[in-house]
Amino acid sequence: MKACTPFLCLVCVVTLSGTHPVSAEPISSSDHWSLQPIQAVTPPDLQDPWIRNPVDAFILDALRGKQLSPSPDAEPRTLIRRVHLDMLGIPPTPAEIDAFVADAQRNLGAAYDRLVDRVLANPRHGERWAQHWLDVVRFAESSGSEINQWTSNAWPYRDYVIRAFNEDRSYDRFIFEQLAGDQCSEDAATGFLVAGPYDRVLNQAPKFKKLQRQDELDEIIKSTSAAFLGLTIECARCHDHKFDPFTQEDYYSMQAVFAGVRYRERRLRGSENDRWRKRLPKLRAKIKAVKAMLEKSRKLLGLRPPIDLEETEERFDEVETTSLRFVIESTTDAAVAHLDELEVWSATEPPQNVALAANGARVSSSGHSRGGGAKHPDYVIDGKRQVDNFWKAEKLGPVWLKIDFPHAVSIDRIVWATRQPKGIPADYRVEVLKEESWIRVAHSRDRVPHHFDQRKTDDLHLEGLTPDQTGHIATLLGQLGPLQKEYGRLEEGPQAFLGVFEEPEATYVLNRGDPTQPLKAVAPDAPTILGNLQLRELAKNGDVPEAKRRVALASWLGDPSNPLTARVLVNRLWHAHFGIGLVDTPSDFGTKGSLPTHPELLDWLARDFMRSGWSLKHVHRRILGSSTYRQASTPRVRALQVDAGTRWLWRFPPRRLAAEVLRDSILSTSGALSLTMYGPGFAFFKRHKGQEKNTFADAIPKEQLEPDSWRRMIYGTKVRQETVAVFGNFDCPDAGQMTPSRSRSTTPIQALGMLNSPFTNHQANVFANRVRGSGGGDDVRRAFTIATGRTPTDEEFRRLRSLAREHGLEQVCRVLWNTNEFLFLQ
Amino acid sequence: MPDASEKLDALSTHGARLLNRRSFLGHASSGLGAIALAALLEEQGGLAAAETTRSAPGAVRPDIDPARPYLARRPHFEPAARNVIVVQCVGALSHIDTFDYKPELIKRHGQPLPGQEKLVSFQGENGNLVRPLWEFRPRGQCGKMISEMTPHIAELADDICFIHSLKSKSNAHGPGESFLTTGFTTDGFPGMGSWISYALGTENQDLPAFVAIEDPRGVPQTGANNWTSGFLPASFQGTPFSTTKPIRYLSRPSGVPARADTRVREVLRFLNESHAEKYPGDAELAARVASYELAARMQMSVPEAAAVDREPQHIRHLYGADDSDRIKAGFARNCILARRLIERGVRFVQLFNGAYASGGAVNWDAHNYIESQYNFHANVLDRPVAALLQDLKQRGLLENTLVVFCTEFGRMPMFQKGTFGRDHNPRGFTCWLAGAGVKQAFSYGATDEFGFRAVENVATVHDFHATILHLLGLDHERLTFYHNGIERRLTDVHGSVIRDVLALS
Repeated sequence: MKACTPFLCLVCVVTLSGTHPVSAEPISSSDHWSLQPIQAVTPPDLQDPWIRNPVDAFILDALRGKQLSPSPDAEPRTLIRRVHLDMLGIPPTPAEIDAFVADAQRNLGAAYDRLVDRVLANPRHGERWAQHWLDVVRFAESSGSEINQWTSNAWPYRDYVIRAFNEDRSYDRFIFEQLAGDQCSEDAATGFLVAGPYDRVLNQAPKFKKLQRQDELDEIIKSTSAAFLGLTIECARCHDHKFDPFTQEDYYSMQAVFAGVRYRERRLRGSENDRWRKRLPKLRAKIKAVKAMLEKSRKLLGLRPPIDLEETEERFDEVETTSLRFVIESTTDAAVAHLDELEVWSATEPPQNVALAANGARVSSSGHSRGGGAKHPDYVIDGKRQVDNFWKAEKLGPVWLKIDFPHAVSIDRIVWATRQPKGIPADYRVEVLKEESWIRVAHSRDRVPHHFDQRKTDDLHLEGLTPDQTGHIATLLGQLGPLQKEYGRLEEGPQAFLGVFEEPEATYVLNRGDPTQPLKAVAPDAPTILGNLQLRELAKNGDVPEAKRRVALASWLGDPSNPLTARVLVNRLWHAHFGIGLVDTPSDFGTKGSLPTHPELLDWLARDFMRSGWSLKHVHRRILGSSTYRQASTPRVRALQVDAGTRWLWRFPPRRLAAEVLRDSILSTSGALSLTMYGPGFAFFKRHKGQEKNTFADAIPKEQLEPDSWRRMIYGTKVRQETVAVFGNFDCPDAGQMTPSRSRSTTPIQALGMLNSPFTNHQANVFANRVRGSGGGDDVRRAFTIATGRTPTDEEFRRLRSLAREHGLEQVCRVLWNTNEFLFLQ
Repeated sequence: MPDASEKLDALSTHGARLLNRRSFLGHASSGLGAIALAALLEEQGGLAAAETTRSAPGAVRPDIDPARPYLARRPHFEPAARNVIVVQCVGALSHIDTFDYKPELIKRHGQPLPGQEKLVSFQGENGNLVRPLWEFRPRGQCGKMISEMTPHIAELADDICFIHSLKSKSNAHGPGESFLTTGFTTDGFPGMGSWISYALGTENQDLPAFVAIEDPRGVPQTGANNWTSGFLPASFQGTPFSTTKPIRYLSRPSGVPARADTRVREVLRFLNESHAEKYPGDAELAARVASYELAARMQMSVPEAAAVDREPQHIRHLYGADDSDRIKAGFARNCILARRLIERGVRFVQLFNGAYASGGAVNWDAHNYIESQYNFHANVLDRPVAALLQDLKQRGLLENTLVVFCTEFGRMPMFQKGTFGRDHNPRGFTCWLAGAGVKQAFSYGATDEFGFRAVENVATVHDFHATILHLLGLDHERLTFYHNGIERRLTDVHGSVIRDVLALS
């Protein structure tokens, strides 16, 4: 992946240091712990052989304070399984276990260090840990709310996160790219901004339309403040924050940073984009050549120029009438006809549009569509060419619009216009009422079809042309269609759902969050108590450019003097390793959040992290290398009595595997797991052909029996609201709210899925086939070892073997995946 | 962070009860089971007595045993109702044409709505006032004016408590429906059913606590967001199933004989027990073993509860379960299922009428042709729902069961410009309650003379929720769960109980 270093990349150097001095100096008047500068802490000076690195010194010190003692190291066999499941999300193979156990017998320390090196270099690591981040930002590939449609090109952001973790992208850079990746050639990263749910219903009511937009911006504020700062600034949308030192003005200042972000797809620059661009000139020349032939034919055949997509005028001899009819036989794309406006001009000086409702004209039609709001014919004579208000026929042609004038008028031309992307009239005629019959005064059949016209030969009714001549025109159109379509696609470039940036209007503080009650305008800024983006001066002299706002916020977030950024991140890592953070409210470092169990360790880790160049892998090494992490998870009576929740870490806290780890582990042990990385996801839901863009509400979860779905679960298209078959019930977030910490529940529905689903039973067959063949009881032993990482006891073996003999090896495999030993990280 | 002594205090009240529970997979004797269990309770947000730094003053956390999360729990105070059936009309049912009688609207038919000429609402411009398309006449002893659209429900006017003055926060189906079920317009918040099963557990341990019954035409507009547990533990999410859509993976896999299945469970139990010996007292391991046992019981009890066909002929007839209209028969069967579940002790049943799709073809969203569309939908809705009320009543179930009839918002007293239908109206709409704890033959609140806006005793959806929780013995301000910086509630930071609708006891 070609990613820039913001601090080296030319663009960023200009934007960052050139014009953007940022200050994270806290103007703190709060004494809340998390808003204080990160302290330089010296680890407790304890002499104890248990201590492997400074992390242990902090932990041991606190344990002693509680009269607790740590647990001994876990068995090597347990340890390698833990490290693999935690860091890679799949269990080690029996061969890997045996090698490590043997290695550890020779030199445990060195063997373990090599193990850590191996997992950190393994690309499976990014695939597992990206999920933790995607949970926090509630990334999904559907919009949520009512129209929960598929966002088919949101996945580049998921890939970006996986790559960033695998490459150990420095965290300050990771922040910068997600907020302003468009400014440093890391386009895919800005998927972060539009990761939240949004309501794509077209709402015409002015207040609710504004509210919808406010909700979109609120999601971005939530993402940013929770993910990076561990704060709930969104609570100040309607009033000053009730618990934390943030005002309503802080909220809207932050909104001003994002006010130009739109939930749309954008060109994804990069090698594919470059390849597409290179193809353009050749294609352009081809199109030009065919168009030239069309124009040449037009002249030869004596046809008039094509219709104009802006507006088309039809002139005719002056005629006096009381009514005019616009009859549409067909449209350019075989959709029902759409029309924004129909003008009829009088043959007077000056000419007057006599079709205006304001001038007394009345309109009727053969019928109008009633789907999704009325598309009434009134809109074609209201004198306004509006995208939202237009006439749409209720059926395919022939259809008509009729205009009755208040009295007879002399007219000599009409103008029709449509800005709708479809249903453009192609074959039409203009008729006037003369002595009770309709007389044609103009028509389109002597015009050459527009080069966007997609009609086939049989639908082209060109007057005065032989069938051969019409056929010739149709052939040219037939060539142009696909060429232009391809040109359009290439010119737009590869698109991805990463947000679009527009120069925003002014942002106002809204009274009680009501978009119809703006109070005062605010400049883009960070919450006052935390620092300032130094954009206010600039704001006074006019608008601050959109990108500059995001760049300023990103730089401020990644400034080492920000008291929250590093603390929040190291706590997230700790949370993922141990199942619970030093602060057990990972996205809330405010006053309603918990206090850290080990505040000094948190600060030490935060500083150590920044000193390492914001390297996540450095923090992983610190944690994995500690004795704290390597402890056995076995419970001890006295310790449980003092600290039942294992908050003081007198053992490694055991816990059930996350949904993704569970599914990936099943596939990995059955041997079916595909390690194909990146790209569009596989589908967890059945869609009927042609309905891929429908809402997911009625989609049926797939049983995942096709090998293309046997990739790692992170590559499954993530749909909001809906529950994935079997594994969705293992506390998979629904991507509605941010999930910095998953619930961990135990339900009978989980058991039913694991025992009875086609997926687990099918995989049990695959697993059985994989191990079958070594003959007799060895199959059972092998399956057991692959699944659990150890050999069975005699009694376990005896029982499993008899099950295999009676009912087949598949049933043994089915049992193994349902054992607690398989399901738990110990 | 509470210190260790606080935790021990928590255990002393809590652990004692748990230790007495002999059944804790044999580990209770060591005391470890209880201790670890208490830890897990706290971790999962369950421990009532443990006041951590972040819990709201007065918050009452339910005691949840992770091995048996559905055990019935005591409410905050003596409840009027023990369980709930929600009949949810998807797509916004018009109050104008059903329950909210407005003589002035009939009189001013064809005129513009005063002060709101050319009002632009959800789909665009509105036309003139249009009288209800069904005749209203007095019903029951109380003489409540109800339209001809739902004649069977109308006949039960004496049992119903109408709330005519509700207003919603959104005029769009997605946010509106989420608001109605979760109290928030955005995705990902726990629904009413999740909150209630989190608070109260359920009476029958062999059935889910919270069942969401989809309409035969499909799922509602925001799909599973209606029965999500959001940030509550996943144990409390609704289990979606209906007479046309069974619970997934309930039966053993095809091709696996019953005998093999039994042996699989035996071997599995053995392996789990010998594993548990290495981790004495780990509550989460025990909980998982218990969940497999519950799953096995559900495999027996769910098909039994769902056996609607075992109902006698006269009951099937009452509901219209054998109607020639497949959709009506399907919905009627779902209504019977709802009753059977409640009868067996399920805490919360959310019964949907209508599915997803704009334009009113398969739900109450009649933008285009309200008359023909509503005639069709009313036929599906009316008799089965009336039968459900009658059936609950005749069995005495209505004494413990609250029936909630609701929709996400109402519709305009005008037709949309150029259509024969009505646009969305969040300013005023009607829902009703019946059964345990609510007044009978009562109407609360009112919209203006056209049914356009709630004006008298205006009630929010939060008030509606607070009232439902109150009827179940729950204080909506004390039923909370900490999530991302705030003690979340079904009622957000709003809501007050609508005391006027409570039956005098």
